Amino acid sequence: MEAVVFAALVILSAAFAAVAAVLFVVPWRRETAPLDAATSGIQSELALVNLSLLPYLLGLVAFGALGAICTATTWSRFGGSLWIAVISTVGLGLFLFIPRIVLGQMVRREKADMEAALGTFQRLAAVAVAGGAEISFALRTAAVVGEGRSWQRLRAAAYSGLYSSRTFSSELAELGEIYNSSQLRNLANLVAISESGGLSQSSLERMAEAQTQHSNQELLALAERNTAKMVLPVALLFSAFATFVGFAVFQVLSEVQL
Amino acid sequence: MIELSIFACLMMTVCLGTTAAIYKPLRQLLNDHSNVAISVVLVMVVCLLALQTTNSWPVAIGTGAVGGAIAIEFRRASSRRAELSALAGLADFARLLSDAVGGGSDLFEAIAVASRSASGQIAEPLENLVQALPHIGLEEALRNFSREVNLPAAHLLAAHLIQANKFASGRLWVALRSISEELQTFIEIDQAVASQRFKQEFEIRGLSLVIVFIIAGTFFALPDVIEGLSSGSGFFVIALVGLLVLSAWFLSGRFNRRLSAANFELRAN
Repeated sequence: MEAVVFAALVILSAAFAAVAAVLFVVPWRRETAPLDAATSGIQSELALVNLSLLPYLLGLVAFGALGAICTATTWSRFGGSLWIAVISTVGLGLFLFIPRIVLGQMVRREKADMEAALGTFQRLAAVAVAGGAEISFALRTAAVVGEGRSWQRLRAAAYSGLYSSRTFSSELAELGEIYNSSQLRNLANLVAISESGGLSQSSLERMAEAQTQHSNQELLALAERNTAKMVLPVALLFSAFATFVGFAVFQVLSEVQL
Repeated sequence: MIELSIFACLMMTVCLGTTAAIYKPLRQLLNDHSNVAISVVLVMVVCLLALQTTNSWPVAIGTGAVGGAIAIEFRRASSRRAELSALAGLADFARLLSDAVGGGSDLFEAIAVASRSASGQIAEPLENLVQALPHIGLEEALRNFSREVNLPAAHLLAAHLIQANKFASGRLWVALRSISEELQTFIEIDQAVASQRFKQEFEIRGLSLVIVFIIAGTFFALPDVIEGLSSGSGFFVIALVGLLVLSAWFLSGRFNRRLSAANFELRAN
């Protein structure tokens, strides 16, 4: 009977984990939702990765339930000592953090995507500027070239100024606030100068070059960080080997009659 | 029974090959996924041979897993080489374009001239580009080219060429030179990092395979010692070891992932 209950709990846990994973992986919205700088915290992060609050809350409930099931199972199988209680509580807490960690990773990836898109956006605009185009016009023509969420947001910023009272520079500045990106803020300042009649063509070219250098440095830094992290798989392999050999040795020793 | 399975496996391969020689869609399908098809058949044969030799399912599954992992590694290495070759070809093409435009050719002539000396992965897509240019125009032909090469760098090059053709005709060669330099820098960084980490990746993946092989071999060579593994806690230990090895394999792939160029994709229209 106990085995059946245990199996049912495991299947239920797996089902909860699957539901939570699907909630995060499946793109529920096809179109990119407009961003609002007034929101903050979780809601602003969810808007950045184009998720609504409901899948996040469902994911939280699913992982909370998964943690509770694991806690109850551990408790029923290994008794109710203080240490088991502490370990179960920590385990439950860790499960509750999983959706937050996943969301954090998605936000970081979104910001990296925006930085990469911004670099290309500036370089493409610089090509048009080199041909004699005015900065806002060059940026608007460059915004239509790329595919993806970051490009959609750059396009929305570039063209919303044509149909509303807001300016291109203010839209870019708002994007800079939401993404917390100094490059976007700098570009917004450049466009603002251009809108007020200033000449900033060469600045755009320099910014595009600086952005390329920054991206290359980021790539190298990422490579070095990843090289340092390679200790982790080695440690995991060592643990696997030690576990297997340790268990075999334990089996042999337990059979030795003293 | 096992001999029959091996014979059936080999016969199926022969039949599939013969049918593919006659039936074009199947040939195309096998061409597109030839590495996968060959790997699957080889792993199945290795698995069955191991079962035949040792008469032990754990050994057969372990050997099959090791064989499959080796096949995956070979496939990864070959696709990595192909991608680097395509990147180098794109950088050279951009440089030649820049030289040709700098010499006074217009973009159409320059593409035709530069594509003549292209080789390797991008030779065929470039040939298609040159053939399509007079019929569908520069923009559409470049979109088709970027889809065919299917690398962010190709999309980036196409985007720059479209933009340069529209707006920077006066300084086209400067724009092309900067694209070429950018791609070259990226390739240099990529190769430097790849060579730095290749050894580590090889060690970790090799160690993973050795551990799987040791476990599979232990089942075969030391059945008495491993008898305890058939108990409940034994299964738990085997599952834990498998999970740790898989995690190490996954993490080494994740940390060694090639540097991807800005994940740029040209908009469809």
